[in-house]
Amino acid sequence: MMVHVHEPVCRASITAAVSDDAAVVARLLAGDEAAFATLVSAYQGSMLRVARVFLSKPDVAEEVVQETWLAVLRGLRAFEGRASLKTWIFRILANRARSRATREARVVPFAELASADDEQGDADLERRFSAGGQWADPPTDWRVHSPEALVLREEVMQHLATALEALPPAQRTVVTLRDVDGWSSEDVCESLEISEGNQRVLLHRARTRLRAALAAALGQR
Amino acid sequence: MLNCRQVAEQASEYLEKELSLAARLQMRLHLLMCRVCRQYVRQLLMTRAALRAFSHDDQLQPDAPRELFRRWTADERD
Repeated sequence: MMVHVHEPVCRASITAAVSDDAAVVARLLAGDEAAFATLVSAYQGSMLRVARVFLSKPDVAEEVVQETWLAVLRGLRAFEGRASLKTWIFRILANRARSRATREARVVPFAELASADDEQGDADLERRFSAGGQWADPPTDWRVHSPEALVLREEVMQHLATALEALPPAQRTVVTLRDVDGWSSEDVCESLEISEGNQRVLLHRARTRLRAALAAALGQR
Repeated sequence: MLNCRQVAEQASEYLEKELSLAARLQMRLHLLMCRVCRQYVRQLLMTRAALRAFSHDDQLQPDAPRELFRRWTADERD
């Protein structure tokens, strides 16, 4: 018996780090530069990647990331801890990136991106099955026995990197945060303010495409 | 009984352990009997693992955030 749960927007992640957030904030307010350096190195990579989804120019994305840090520091006293520090930082980033993109006349509201159908991607997978749901165009053996072996093949990884860049923006953000940066689905949902369902679909589509790209790079299906 | 298309559609959720117990058991049963789908799921898993390799610190000018912090703490003290 399947239990159907009314689809929630993600619940606030009950992070064990809540008390850690308070400690970090206290240290920052006390002028602890090392604490700030730690925070920066923890999130900077992901922040740049998220900014790049909204902003095509890398230097503009970097600017927005810097502005975000400033906004974070300035807003620290008012930080109430209702969301995690991480979520709060990324929401500020997403908002700034979005308004900057608007100013540069490229409006890409994430909510719209998230709901945009990727009919091409879905159709590609559909086409590989018969009407009865059997494989008509099955995956073939990659002859690669571990992810480690795969990662050593530079050309193949280059292909994967290209395929990642070529993903529709919403898919690229989600799969990057989840699979490259190792974020939980709760953190992704909260930071990008999308539903679990949205997140799940975007991740599925991204991974499906990327698997296909890897297969192609290996001369397989 | 799940068919292969359904397995491919749910494979990502399966990897995330987001399926209900019933759905997960159905997947397992299908995968036990279907070599092709087993291969597909394994490849999806490998894709996810390969993506991890792209994680690295994109350091901007590393001094820039520190400089920002120093200016901010200076401002705070005013």
